[in-house]
Amino acid sequence: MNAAASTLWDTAVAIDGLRFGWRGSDDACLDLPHFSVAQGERVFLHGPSGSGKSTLLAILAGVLVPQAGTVRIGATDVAALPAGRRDQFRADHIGFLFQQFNLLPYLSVLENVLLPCRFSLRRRMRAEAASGASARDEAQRLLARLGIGPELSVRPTAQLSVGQQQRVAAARALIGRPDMLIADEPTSALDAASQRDFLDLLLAESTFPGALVMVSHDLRLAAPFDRSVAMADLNVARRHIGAP
Amino acid sequence: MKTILLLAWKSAWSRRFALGLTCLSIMLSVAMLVAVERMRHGAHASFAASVSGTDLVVGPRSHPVQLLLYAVFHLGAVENGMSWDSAERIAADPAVAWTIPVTLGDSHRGFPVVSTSAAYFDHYRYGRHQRLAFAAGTQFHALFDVVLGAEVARRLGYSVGDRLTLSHGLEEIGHAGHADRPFTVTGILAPTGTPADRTLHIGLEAMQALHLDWHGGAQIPGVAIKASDLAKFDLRPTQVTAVLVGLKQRAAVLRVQRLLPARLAEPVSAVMPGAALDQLWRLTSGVEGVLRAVAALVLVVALAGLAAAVLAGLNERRREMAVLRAVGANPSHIFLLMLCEGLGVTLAGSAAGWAAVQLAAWSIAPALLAHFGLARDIAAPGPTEWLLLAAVMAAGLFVSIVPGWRACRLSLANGLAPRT
Repeated sequence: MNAAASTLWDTAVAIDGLRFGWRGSDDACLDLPHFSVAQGERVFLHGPSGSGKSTLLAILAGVLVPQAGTVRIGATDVAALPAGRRDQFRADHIGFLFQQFNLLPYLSVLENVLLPCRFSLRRRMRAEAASGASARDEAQRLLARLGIGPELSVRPTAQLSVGQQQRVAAARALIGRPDMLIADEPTSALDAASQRDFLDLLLAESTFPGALVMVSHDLRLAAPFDRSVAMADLNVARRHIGAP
Repeated sequence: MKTILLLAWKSAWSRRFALGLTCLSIMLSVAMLVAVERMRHGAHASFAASVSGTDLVVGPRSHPVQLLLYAVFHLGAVENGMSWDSAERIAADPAVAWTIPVTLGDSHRGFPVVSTSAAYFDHYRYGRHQRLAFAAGTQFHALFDVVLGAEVARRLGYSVGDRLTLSHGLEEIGHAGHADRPFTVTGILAPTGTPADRTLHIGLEAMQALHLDWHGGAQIPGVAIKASDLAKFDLRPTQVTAVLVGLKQRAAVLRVQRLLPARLAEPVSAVMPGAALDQLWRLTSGVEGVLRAVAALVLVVALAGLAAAVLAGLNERRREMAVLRAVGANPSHIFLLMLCEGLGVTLAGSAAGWAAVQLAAWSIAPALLAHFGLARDIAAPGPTEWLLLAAVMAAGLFVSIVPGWRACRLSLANGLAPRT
C-alpha cells in the first residue's frame, strides 16, 4: 500500500483489471489488464476503428462505468464513484475534446468556452485565478492564444470554420486548467496542414502539470507525443478486431 | 439551475420556429378552453343578474324552469295565467315588500311586449342591485304609452315621441294586429344586459284595453270600441302571467315560498329564481360538458404534439447532450433541460392563450356592454379558470417527463459517442 500511495502522486492515470462490455453483449469489448499515464505525460493512443479507443476515453471521463477494475485519475477511482460524484469529478478535473461538433450551436464562442465554469466551481475559480480577473478574461486569453480573436468570440459558432471550431473546443477543454485532457481524434475533421497547426497549438497550451491522452488512427500525428501506445497492446479482449 | 434555465432558453430559442408552432397550438387550445369556460360563466352570471333583485316568481302552476324562463326571460310559454285577485293577495301579504305583475302575449316586430305596473321601474333590480335607468324620456303615464328596452330602440331606430303598433301573439309578422291602437314612445331604458333590453313595456291597463274587443285570440267581428269610449270600461286586468316578488326579509324566502300558495284560491307555483336557474344549468350541463370535452380533447392533441416535437428533436440533439455530458452535466441536468423546455412551451402557450381570450374580452367588452350589458361577466376571469390553467400546466409537466426521461436514458446509454 505504501508503495502504491507514493506512486499516486506522480501517476495521472492508473487502470487495473478493467473489463467493459456493452449491455446486451456477453463478450467484453475492453479487457485491459494495466495502463498508466504519468503526471505531465502526453500519450498518443492509436488503433483502428472499433478497437475500443472511444470506449476507453468515455471510461476515463467517467461517462461509462466498467464491469470490473479500477480507473484511477490522480488519487480518485472514478469507476467506484457514485454517478453524481462521477459527473462532478469530470466537470472539475477533465477537459474533453470531440472529433467534431464540439460546440453548442446556440451559444456564442465565448459562452461555449465558459461552459465548464458553469458546471464546475473549481474550474471557474482556477480560470479566475489564472487571469487575475474574471473567467471571461481567461476565456478571451485562451482563445487569443489559439488564434481566435475577440471579433470572432461573440459570433455564433455556426459562422466559424471547422478548424476554428476545434480551436474553440480546445479552449473550452483547457479553461480552468483541468488535471487531464482527453481528446478523441480531435484533428480528423481537419485537412493535413490544419492538423499539424492544431496539434502544435494543443500541445503548446496543455503545458499544465496534467496528462494528455489523445486517440487517433493516424500514426503520422504521433511524433510530438511523449509516448505512443497501440490499443492492440493494451486490450486483450478476444473480439478485438485489430489484434495481430 | 440558472445554467439549465439559460441553456434551455437558448436551445429552445434556436429552434423557435418548430417550438413556436407547438406553442401556437397550445395557445389556441387553451384559448378555446378558457373561452368556453368564460362563456359558460358569463351566461350563468348574466342569467343570474337578470333576477338578482327578485326573491320569488309566482305564477300559474307549472314547472319552475318553465315559469322562470317565460316570466323573466320571455322564452317558451306558459299555458294559463294567474288571476288578478291572486296577484293582489300576494301584494297584500305582510312579508312582501313589493310586487311586479307581468303579462306577456303581444309583440312588436319580434320583440316581446310586457305589460306591467309602475312598480317595475321602481323595484326591478338587476346585476349588483342596480335600478333601471332611463336613457331618454320617462316611464309610461297615459294609457297607450310605451317604454322601450335599449336594444329595441337601437335595432328599430325609435326615439321618444315615435308611434308604433303591436301585434297579437309572438309571431314575427302577426297578421292579427292591434293596428287600431297606436302607442307613443315615452321612454327608452339604458342598457342593462337583461331581457329588459329586448322588451317593450306597457301598462297593465293598456294590455286590458287592447283586448277588450278580442276573444279567444281574435278580434270579435263587428265590435270595435272607439278609443274615446275606452275610459268607460273597467280596465283593471283580469289576469297576469306572473308576479315578481320582493320580500321585506330575504331570509324568509323559504317560509313564504311554502306558505304563500296556500293562501290563494288557485294552484300556483312560487319559484326561487336561483334554484330554478340551478335546475336549468343542470339541464344544459350536458351540452356544456360536451363543449368542455371537445376543448379538452383539442388540448390533449396539442400537448401530444408538444411531446412529439420534443421527442423528435432528441435525435438531432444527441450531439448537444454529449457535449453537455462531457463538460460535466449529469443525467438529471439533461432531464431538467427537457422538462424546462416542455414546461416553458406549455407556460408560454397557456399564457398567450389566456391573454388572447382576455384581449378579445376587453376589446368586445364595450360592444357587449352596449348591446347586452355582459362586459363585466366576460372581462373578469372566472373562478374555475385558474384551476383550469393549473391543470394545463400539470398536463404539460406530465407530457414533458416523457422526452426528459428518454433523453436521460439516451445520454446514459450512449456515453459520449452517440451512434449517429
